[in-house]
Amino acid sequence: MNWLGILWDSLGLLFLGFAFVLVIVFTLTGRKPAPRSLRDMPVFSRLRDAVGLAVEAGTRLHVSTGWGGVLGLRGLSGVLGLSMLERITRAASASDRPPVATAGESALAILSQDTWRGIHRSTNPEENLLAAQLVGLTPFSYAAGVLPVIYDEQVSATVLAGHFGSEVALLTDAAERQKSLVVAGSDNLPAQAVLYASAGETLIGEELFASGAYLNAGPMHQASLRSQDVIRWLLILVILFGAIARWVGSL
Amino acid sequence: MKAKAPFSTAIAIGFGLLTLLAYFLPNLLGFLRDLLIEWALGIVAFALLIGVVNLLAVHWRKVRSGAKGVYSAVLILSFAVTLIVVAWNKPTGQWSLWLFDYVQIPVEASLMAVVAVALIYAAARLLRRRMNGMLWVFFITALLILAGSAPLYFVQGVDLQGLRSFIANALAVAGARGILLGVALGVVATGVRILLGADRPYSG
Amino acid sequence: MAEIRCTNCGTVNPAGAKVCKSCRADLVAQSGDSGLPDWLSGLSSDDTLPSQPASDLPDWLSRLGSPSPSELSGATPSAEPPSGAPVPDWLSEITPRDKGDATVPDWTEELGITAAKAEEPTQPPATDEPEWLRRVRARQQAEQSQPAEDFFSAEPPPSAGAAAPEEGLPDWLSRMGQSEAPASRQEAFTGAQPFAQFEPSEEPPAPAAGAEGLPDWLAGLGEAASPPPASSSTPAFTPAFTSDADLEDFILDASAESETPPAVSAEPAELPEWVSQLSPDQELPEPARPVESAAEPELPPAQLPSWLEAMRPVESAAPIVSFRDEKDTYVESAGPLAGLRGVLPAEAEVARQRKPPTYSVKLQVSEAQQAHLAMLDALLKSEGQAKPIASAGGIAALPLLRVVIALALALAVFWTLWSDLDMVAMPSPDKTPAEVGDLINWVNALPPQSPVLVAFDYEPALSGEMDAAAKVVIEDMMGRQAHFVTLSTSPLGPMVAEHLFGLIAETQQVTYPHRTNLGYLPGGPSGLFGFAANPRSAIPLGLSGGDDWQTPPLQAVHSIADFAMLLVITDNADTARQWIEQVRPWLGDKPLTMVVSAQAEPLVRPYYHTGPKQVNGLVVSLMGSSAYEARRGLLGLTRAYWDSFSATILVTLFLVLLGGSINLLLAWLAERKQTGAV
Repeated sequence: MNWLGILWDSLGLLFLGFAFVLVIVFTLTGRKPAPRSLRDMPVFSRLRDAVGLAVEAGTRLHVSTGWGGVLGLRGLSGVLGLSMLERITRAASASDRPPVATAGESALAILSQDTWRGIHRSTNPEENLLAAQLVGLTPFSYAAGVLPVIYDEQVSATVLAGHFGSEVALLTDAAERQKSLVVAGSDNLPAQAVLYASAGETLIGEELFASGAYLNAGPMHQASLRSQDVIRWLLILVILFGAIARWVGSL
Repeated sequence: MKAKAPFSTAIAIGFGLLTLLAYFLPNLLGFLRDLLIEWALGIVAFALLIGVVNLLAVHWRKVRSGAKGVYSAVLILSFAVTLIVVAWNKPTGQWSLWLFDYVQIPVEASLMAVVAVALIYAAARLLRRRMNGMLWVFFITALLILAGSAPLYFVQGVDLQGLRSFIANALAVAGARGILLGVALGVVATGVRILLGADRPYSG
Repeated sequence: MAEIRCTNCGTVNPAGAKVCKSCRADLVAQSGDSGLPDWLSGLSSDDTLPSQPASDLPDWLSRLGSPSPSELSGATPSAEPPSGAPVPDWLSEITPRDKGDATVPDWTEELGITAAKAEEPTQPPATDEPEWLRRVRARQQAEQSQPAEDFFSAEPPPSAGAAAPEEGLPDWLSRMGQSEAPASRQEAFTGAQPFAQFEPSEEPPAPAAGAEGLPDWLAGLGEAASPPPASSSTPAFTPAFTSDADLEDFILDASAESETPPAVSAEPAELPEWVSQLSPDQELPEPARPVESAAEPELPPAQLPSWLEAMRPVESAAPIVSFRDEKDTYVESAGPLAGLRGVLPAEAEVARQRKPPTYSVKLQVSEAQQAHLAMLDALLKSEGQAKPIASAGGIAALPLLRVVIALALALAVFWTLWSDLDMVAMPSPDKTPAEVGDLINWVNALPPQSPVLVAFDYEPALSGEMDAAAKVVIEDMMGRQAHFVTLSTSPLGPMVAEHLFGLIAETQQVTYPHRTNLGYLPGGPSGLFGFAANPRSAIPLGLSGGDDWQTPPLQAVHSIADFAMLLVITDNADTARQWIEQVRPWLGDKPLTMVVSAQAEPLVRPYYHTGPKQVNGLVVSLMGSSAYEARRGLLGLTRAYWDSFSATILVTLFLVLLGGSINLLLAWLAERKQTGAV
């Protein structure tokens, strides 16, 4: 048997298995995480402050999960946006004006409604309808649909967590004109560049995927963050080894 | 882990693991993978219809409430007209293409132009922030990329395009790859959490 | 030896004691001079005291009249006191209580004090009294109506029943009547206080008719000596002792302790001259007051040393002024403090029965509370009212800077388009980028009428860039008679494809017939993977609704590798990566080429530089399409957009630099102002 071939074909599976084991081990051993185990990220502190201020002032929070859907690589950033939506909605559940969620894809909109309904346990269909909305089916129609929410709903803070394109500049520009805080993160590189220039607080790269750990979504979030750190260093070592090996081979 | 919705969680975890294994064991579970993906595509397509209905319901409520209902009325009217025209003329018909060519594309292109204005405004105000090293690097890099994107008729003797090419293909690519690797790791971790039932976008 | 009773406090001391164990009084002096002051001891009727001839008495005393020796010395009390002590006259004047008379204490009988009848003048004691006192008594008896001018003369008139001094009275009783000229009236009362009680509820006994000017106690003594009226039930004097037995014992002890009764000089003492000059009618002179006489030299004030002056207790030297709160008008009416003012009430308020206060059941709300209630009510009502959203103003709300930027860009674009000056030259064909050259080569290598899969995965918003970049490539392929099979993973992709082909048709004035639109491919990467594995299964029907797989040349296409080329036109790097990662492995040796936007180039170009290449040809935005057009000698949209493209980039650079500089200056000024304020 071609064990090397089998191993090569199974490399991805082995990598995923290793990630599984790391997450489980860190979850079991890190039930009581040490304080200050995460590096300081002011963006989440400002987000917490913004949630508190919105509850006190009676203004709205706006959480948008983008138009990436739930399938593929884009879909996971949308799932992460749903997780942030759940945390923020739960934190602001005592507010007179609950947070409003917008999505640019149907499955994300349905899941947003489901998340909101699970927290508020509301039986009013109209209330569920307005709490999480599908505002557009294409990126720019989605951006056009989010603008009225930012302008008309007295939004004091906007959280953009999901897959966006360069059209996110319209959202940050509207939020700036309304003098509301923007906390944004995307897995799309051009969107990250736009957000870096225009948003108040930006999550670059995998910082978006660390939001669960910083918002105390659960011990497994912190365990997965620690797993990411371990795998990252392993990848660094592999890359360095490969580069050195190629350079040595070229000599 | 949440104790609620155990049935939904079990289904999600089970089908997720099956699909993952099917990708790595195509000879054994290939048929199962194709079946599950077809089911998922059907659900997403149906979700698209639900989303459209949700969109119409929201705007219909806005029309009834009167709070800026004019724009919602225009949206509902446009939807109805487009639906009728495309259903009657087919997506590649003359009138359907007329709507696309003379309504859809100009509107979205105009929004893109507004994005350009917003980006220029944001770049100009970038120096109003409390500047640090990274912001200066970002600002200067943006200027160089802009300058090297097209030949400037008054600029002679400076290979701006070569400089742009170096920045875009060496420096930017390296940083982009590092970011993408981190994003990939985050995606893997998120997928693991979903398969383990820790992250459940479905509340059940 | 007998025990010694202290005359000061009455404590019984053992014999031979020199100092009283209780009050530390000098017992020797007491026994020697019988407790009298020196000046008084000479006037004493004691045996030790020399009798003074009548001529030696002071004038006042002689004026008063010396009683006869027999009167002074003689004492014919009805009963001898057990101790044999001489009984003073005033005491003997106290009428003893009859058997049926309850007003006179019993102890007077034991002391030998007989009740002197009011009518009958009493005989003064003959043996125990000093001579002068006897003479005084005798005179008083004679002049009953004469008022006493001072207390020395305030002897009870005869009508008052001046009792003859009783023989056998204790020394202190006898001494009480022997004072010559006390400095003040108060000193005369020393020793007599135990027997006197002031009854504030009772009117002070009216002085006797012949006792005007007499001190009260002396006048009272006179009245007490007379038999009280039958109607009077309370004596003028209230005994100090609570029980007569105590006083009786005290007096008996005192009289028993006395060894020798004090001898009363038979000869009357010489009265002072002023006493003899006094008459009952004579008004008592005012007490001498210190009058500063101008003639008399003033005594210089004492010069106290400074240290002594400092030691002077100012507070203690300050006169104690009795304070009485004039507002306190409450007079106690019960208990031992009856009649006093300024005392705590003896009876508690609760002991006094009075009607309980009635409380209103109505809620008492003050004006301040009502104001607070109104404020709270207004706040609660305002919560339910929607606050009007402040609408943005008119011209002032316009984003001026944004408008300026938009106008500048629009001016650059429209001016270059309208002028059509061709200011900027196209790239040289000799400097064609490698990725563009490879794409050109692959297009040149296409077999005629070969099926080419073209993926239109860009948004309509970026059609301006992507149409210009992809149009030249499509037109070049049209020259090879390629059969375009269009597909899209975006819902609007099929429409975008039709739009581009329509644009080309407008340019070439002819509709290209060799094309099939498969429509929208759902599922994202999964859909791509499925399409790559089995295209017919993934998209069984085309956009027209018919089985387009049966039309030539698609009849020969059963897998994705049967396509001659795959051209992906996208603005999104993720979409490009999905096509590369999902479909490339299924293509085999067939090329995968791309037309991408400038924003996707950094992430797609590495796939071109891999070995083996995963992207076989690449056109990046207008830069790539301009090189493609220059290499192919074609004139497309790129040429039309080239000047505008350059102009807008120039304007953008200018605006960013200008705005950045202004904002940098403003930020620096603000920071300087802040640091200056601090």
